[in-house]
Amino acid sequence: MRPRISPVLRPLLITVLMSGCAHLEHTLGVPLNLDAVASLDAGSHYAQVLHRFGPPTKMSALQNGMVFQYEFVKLTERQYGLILPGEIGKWIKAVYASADADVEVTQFIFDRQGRFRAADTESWSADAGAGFSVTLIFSAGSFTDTERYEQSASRSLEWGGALTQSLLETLNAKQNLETGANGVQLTTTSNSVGQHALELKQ
Amino acid sequence: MLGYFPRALLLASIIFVSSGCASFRAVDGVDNLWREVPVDQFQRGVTKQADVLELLGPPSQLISLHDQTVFYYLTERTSGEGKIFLVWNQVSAESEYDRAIFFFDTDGVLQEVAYSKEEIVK
Repeated sequence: MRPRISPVLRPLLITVLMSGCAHLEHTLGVPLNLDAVASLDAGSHYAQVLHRFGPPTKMSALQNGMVFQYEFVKLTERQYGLILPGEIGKWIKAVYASADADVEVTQFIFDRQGRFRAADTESWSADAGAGFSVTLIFSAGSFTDTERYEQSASRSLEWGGALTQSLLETLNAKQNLETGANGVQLTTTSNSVGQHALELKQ
Repeated sequence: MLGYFPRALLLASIIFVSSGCASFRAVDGVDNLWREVPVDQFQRGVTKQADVLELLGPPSQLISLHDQTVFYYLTERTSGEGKIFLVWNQVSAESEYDRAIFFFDTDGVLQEVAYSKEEIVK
């Protein structure tokens, strides 16, 4: 015989079974006006880019000029929760979370006289990770590792920070991509490739 | 003994009372003093590095180009809010960036200046 569930208990049961579902969103910066990017004439002075779009997210000297990089990131995380069985289990929820990242990057390259040479915009969506957690019933936090998207823009601007870096990072400081003198990299780039590979970061 | 509707109402009340809201905010970087100075006050070919330093303090980053020096100022604010319910939780956050940038020639005289369109109001 199937057990009957009281109509009063039904919403409570649904509530408990669905507990822990969450939607988390984090936007970093604002997207550029792409029409304005396309209308930029070849040979324009870098001052025009500054006046249209403001200071770039990142910039660097290049051997024969400089580069401006503008970035916009939108992170969306979805969590699906379930209450565990048992007396203690009803106060604990198991959560599976997955996150997506929408990224838009625009680069402007200038020659030594500050004249516009090239620009391009790329937009893409990436799987930003997934995670699983067991936690108390009343909580809403991120369970995916999206730090590489969210690292503070001022993190690399700390004066004297180089003095406390590891030996390999200090030895390769001349190739550091955070000084503005050796190029730029996308926020999502791994620490194990290109110039950072010399630092043997994990 | 409570009837069906009072019991349902009681249950709904418990669920409602068990919900909550949260908000958070964090500011990083330098004080955005440039918002107190009209951009026109910095004159190309006239303003010197010392003038900018005196008005705005040390920049977040000093960038050395081939024949230019860049003062890069940045304030970052992350704020958000969360709605915590039994059935559904929602958290949204936004990071805003307020920037100012100054390009100087080899003599330390201003060549270009720009503020970001985004502005963080204190």
